[in-house]
Amino acid sequence: MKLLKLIVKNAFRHRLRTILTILGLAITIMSFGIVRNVLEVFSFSEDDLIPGHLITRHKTSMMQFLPYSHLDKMRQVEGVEAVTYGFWMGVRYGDDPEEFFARMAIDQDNFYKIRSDWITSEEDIEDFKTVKNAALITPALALKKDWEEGDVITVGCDYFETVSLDVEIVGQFEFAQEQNRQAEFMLVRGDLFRRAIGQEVSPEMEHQVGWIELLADPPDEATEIATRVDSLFMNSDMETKTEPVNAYANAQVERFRTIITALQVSSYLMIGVILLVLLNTMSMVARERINENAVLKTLGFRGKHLVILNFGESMFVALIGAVLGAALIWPGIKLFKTLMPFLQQVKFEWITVVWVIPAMIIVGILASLVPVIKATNTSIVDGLRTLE
Amino acid sequence: MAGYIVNITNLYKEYIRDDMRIPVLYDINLDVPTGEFLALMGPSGSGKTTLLNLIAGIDRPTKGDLSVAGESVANLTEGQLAQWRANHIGFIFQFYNLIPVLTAFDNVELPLLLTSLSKRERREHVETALSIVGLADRMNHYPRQLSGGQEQRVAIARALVTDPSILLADEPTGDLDRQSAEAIMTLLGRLNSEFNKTIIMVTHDPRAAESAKVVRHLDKGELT
Ligand SMILES: Nc1ncnc2c1ncn2[C@@H]1O[C@H](COP(=O)(O)OP(=O)(O)O)[C@@H](O)[C@H]1O
Ligand SMILES: [Mg+2]
Repeated sequence: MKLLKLIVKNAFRHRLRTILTILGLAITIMSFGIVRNVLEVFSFSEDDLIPGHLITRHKTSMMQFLPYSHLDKMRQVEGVEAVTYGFWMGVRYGDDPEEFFARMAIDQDNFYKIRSDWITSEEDIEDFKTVKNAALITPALALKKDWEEGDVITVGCDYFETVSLDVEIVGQFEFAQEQNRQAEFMLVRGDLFRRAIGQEVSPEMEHQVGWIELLADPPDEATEIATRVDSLFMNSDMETKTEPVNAYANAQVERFRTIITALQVSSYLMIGVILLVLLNTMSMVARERINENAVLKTLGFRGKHLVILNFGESMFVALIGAVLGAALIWPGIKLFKTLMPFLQQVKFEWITVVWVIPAMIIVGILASLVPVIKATNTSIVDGLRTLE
Repeated sequence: MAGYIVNITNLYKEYIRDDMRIPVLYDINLDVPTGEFLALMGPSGSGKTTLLNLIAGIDRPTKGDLSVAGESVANLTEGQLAQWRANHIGFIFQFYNLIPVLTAFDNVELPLLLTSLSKRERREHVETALSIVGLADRMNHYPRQLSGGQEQRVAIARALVTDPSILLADEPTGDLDRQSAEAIMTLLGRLNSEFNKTIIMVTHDPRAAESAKVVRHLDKGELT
């Protein structure tokens, strides 16, 4: 393309202005990418759910533990196929905030009967059941920490700070869901954790669990089975609330609804900001080139050539900004996670980068309309009489 | 009409600004033979630029006939007119109007980008045009690295490079010191005598008009 040279030179006529425009675009695109990736954390797909998967928590407070004895009672309920429990342990590891990884303590004897979304081998399940201080880790965690089978690791709990467990890695497990593949995660034996909080926090805690999970059979009667389970503990001081995991996940998302909405709105506003930044630069271009466009027309340049020149310039700036911004999304997310460890599930989704390019092409087209219309609508004599 | 490159008959031009008619040219009749070097003189505001713009096909007459290089300009569409300008017109402005971000070479090459010439052919044409105006050694200079006289010579090379049927110059020396102005006039004189270029030049500098073969005066929109 013969006009390319002029397009590139035009784009850098006001070098500082163009660089600032590109930086403005890149930073906004990066922020957009980070926000969209944060929003990904709150989206889940029904396809990932295990049919008949129920979760039980304390009726009034999610934080409140439940009695371990509930598990046996639930097993008696008609339609309850399997029962297991879990605790959230936290993410902190050592003093370095970069070192965090997520951990749960789980029922070593029953978890695999329900959690078909945690893929592991028979052999590793067997080791997890028999080795007294066993732990399973995801391949991503093994890779990050260079841990292997037989290593003994000391891990704590974020909210019971005196709890400290020496666990032995006996094998690996993987999340079935694609979006969790890269998660750095550890599963610790539930009895080990219960004994530790019994000793370190208070003796009765040894007989409590963080939450209970059930498998309802048949799955399409899950809601009725959940009601039957809850009715067992009605009017006790340990009333339960049992619901399908998707309802539970929805409720979790609901807690963050305002934040999610705010993030969504701000992500759309960012697109507006991107457009404004480029529009601003391109309208300056439109004004500055009135005389020059008339000169080009005098030389025989036609409307289509001016469209190519202006559109090309707009697109050139937009695409440099897009590439730079897209390239910054990944490091941006890394930085974001170091600053906010509790959002460690935020992952880098390629799709956000893939979307940046067509979005910026549209922005580039829209922003070029200003100078294109100006250039084609100004008559040559009027253009020549206009002095910058 | 053979022998004539410009035929103007009963040409009338007015501008309309804010619902006001501003008549600029009244009943112009002008025939310019091929190979002519014509100077159009007249006071400021007399309509010299307007007439030149009409001949250049960058403006359209209100009434009357205007034929340039064998084409009735008024009948062409915008696109055809642009193509026609590219083929037939070489325009030289008072303020040179070079593109500041392009070198002398790239500025002169601009009109050739609209042709189907190869890169190598374009290079040859540009080098020829720049050596005619005596600036072959300044090819890679940017306009801001050149003097006013040199800039105008680059602009002349740009007007020349497509080998147009006619060169139109609007006060080409209007912004130059005497010495540079003389150099430009000598150059235009050579283009007319050596290269047989038809030239119509607007000027209000009598000294510049001396180089022309014929001088016509325009006063308040009328040729005298
Ligand atoms: N595009 C235009 N719109 C309105 N009036 C114009 C336009 N071009 C020229 N004029 C008017 O026409 C008259 C002649 O202008 P011009 O041809 O530029 O004169 P000259 O070149 O002889 O100084 C002036 O009064 C000028 O204001
Ligand atoms: Mg004038």
